[in-house]
Amino acid sequence: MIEPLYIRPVIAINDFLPIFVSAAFILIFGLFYAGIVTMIKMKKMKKVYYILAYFFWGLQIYCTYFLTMTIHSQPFTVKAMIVAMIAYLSVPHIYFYLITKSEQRYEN
Amino acid sequence: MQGQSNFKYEGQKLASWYFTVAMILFGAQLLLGLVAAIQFIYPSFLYGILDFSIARMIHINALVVWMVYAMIGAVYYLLPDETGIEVVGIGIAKLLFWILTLAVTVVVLVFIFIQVGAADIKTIWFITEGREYLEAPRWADIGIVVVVLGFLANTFLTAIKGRRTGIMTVILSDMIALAGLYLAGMFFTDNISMDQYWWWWVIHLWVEATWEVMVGALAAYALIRVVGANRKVVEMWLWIEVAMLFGSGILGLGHHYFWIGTPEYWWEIGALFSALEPLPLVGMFVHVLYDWGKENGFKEKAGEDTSSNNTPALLWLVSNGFGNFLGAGVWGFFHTLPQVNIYTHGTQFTAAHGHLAFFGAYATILIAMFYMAVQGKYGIKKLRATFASKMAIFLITFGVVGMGVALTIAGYEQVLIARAQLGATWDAFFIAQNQTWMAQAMDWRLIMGVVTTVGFFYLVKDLLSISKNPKNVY
Amino acid sequence: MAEKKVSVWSDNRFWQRSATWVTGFASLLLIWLTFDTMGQITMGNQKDINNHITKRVPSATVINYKVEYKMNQRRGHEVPVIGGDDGKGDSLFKVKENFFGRDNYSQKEADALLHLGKLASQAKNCMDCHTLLGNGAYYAPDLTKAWLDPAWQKGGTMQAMTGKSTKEEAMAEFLQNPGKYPTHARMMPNLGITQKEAVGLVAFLKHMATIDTNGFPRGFGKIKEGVVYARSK
Repeated sequence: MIEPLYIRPVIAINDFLPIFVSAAFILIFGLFYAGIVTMIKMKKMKKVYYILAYFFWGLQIYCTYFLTMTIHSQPFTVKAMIVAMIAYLSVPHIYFYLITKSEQRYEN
Repeated sequence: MQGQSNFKYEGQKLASWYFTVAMILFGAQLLLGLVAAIQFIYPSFLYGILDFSIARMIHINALVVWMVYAMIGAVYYLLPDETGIEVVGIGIAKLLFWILTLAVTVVVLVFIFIQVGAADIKTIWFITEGREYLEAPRWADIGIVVVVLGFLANTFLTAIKGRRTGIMTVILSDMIALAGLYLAGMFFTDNISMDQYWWWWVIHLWVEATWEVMVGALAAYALIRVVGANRKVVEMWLWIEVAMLFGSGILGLGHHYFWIGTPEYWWEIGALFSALEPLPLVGMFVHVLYDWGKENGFKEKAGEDTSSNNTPALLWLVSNGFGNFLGAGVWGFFHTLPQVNIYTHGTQFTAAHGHLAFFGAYATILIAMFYMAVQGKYGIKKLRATFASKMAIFLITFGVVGMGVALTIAGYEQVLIARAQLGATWDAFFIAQNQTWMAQAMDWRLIMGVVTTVGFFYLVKDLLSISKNPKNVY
Repeated sequence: MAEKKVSVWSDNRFWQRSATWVTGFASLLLIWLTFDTMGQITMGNQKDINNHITKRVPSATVINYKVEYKMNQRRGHEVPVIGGDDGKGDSLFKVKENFFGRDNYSQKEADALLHLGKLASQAKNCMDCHTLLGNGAYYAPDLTKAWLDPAWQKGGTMQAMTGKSTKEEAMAEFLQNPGKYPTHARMMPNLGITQKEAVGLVAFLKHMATIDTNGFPRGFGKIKEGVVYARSK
């Protein structure tokens, strides 16, 4: 069996603040993204605002990229973050697809 | 609670007893929290009388116990409503309430007056078990298990006899898991790694899995009652939430196994599932927002009054959506990856996350349940927010968020100085504690704690008097 | 289902089953991992030490050995080193060290001391001020590697304050009379710790320092004197 090699580089002092801020903004931008999609589905916003929603998702991706680089992630963490970002992108869409289906079924 | 009661069922009356004790314990939690916060600034305060360890122990235990009381109360409240029948064995259920309350009182008195014992297994049985959150002595553990088994029997027999709903099915299976997990915390071992491995089974699988599912079920019930959402749609979404919460939460346990002696593979498991854990929280937030907006849209079209039938409960429900996401999601995520966590583990960051998450995810929805019980008790059709309701929600939320921010700053300072630079020694710890940023953060934490407490008094006043003000009741 | 075509995606039963499957699968995975972890964190015994087997949680008899915390090349972080190291950061289990004047505690004696210490750590509520393995309260220092803290070594401030000549005696003295040796305005209260309990607690602390915590806390004690970082550049 090959012994796994774990490398844990030290985080530079000046990197801590950007790390915490970017990690927080991953979720905050994620909330904006999901929130705008919801408002559009509720017809409180025009469809053109999808651009804005995806823009926030883009910012989310950027923050995630920045975070994973700054904490010197191993390949596995990088993959975990990619999975999480795809999940963020798709969850509101899956959710509203399901909601529409169930409303058609139970409310008409 | 005085005044005539409009409860249709004895089970709902019992729920109001549980809620009353929950509020008293909530008050105790705040009081002891203030003592501990003062001790951070003036360490000689009550030194040798009620030391920090004791104040802090009662602070966190009162928190857990008031939430468990409120959850049991919430189940008894919605049980007759969902099943359409009286709680089976209500006499025994009431007896169990008194036994539990008596046991809690004895445990608290022993904590306050005896405090610590000799290094003997007798101490573990009769004074304290000394494991953070699970300090209740062994006899009380067994008592809790017996009472909870009785509670489960009551709910099961009622659910089997009455109408079967999706919400009830989720709650019942969740309650079994919740009670079963408590057993994982009831043994003694000399091996501290083993000790903490199972300790997390109780702590994590309660607050990040089974409690969250309970919140999902309570929110579903509240959405049907307060907003008037369609049951089928809400229940379907509840099942999806259960899948997402358990799917990410159960293995999310891995993020507690980075540094307690457990193998390295928990780094990967912990990192992956921690990154997914906020997803259901986003989902729950979107869900509340969407249902609320949709039902309002229906009412507007029909030319009906769009105001909710219980505004204070709705306000707390919405703050639950935000709070759960912010406290459990954002504050949890930014220190959860192992690369960062090696620096933040065991600092005030954890305290910040704890305050915001327990409040945002649990306190908010349970307070919403209190308001629903008030509405049910006095048979009020439409309950409107009073000045006190608004002050309560504003001051409590502002206070807890303020404490969270202050503790985050303290934690950040601790990470930089005590951890990253000085290497976590005894001296490093106290050098960090002596910095101005830390000292002032602790001042602000106390101030915000006082704000929260003032909000709590508004909440008590409101819960007792909102029904008596004809302006707010329709 | 005859009235109209319905999608499985809007079917309550489908989602109920999915939730059950997801929960069941996650639980099974957790149970499987638990079995593996249990095997890896079971406490070792003197035989392991004799055979030079490094356990994540070693035998209680490590109190007979010299304990250090050193960078391990293969692991990429610090690990506890018991009885001297081989130059690469792995334990040699050779170099002994006196613990209260002896270095020949039998398995039974060492187990009894650790048992007493662990019980004392719970009976005195250590975790509601300190953190152990990083878990607990944040009012007082982390005790994970307290045994290796420079303050308790020869020439360290804590050892000097108690007037004792070894770190185990200094720690035991402090635990029995914390009020006599204030290190900070935030003093440890007197918890009625007896001489015997204090010895047990020190054994518990020494044993805890030998647990492989995957490099936590990072860079323990890397700066002996407190020099606080000022923004460079």
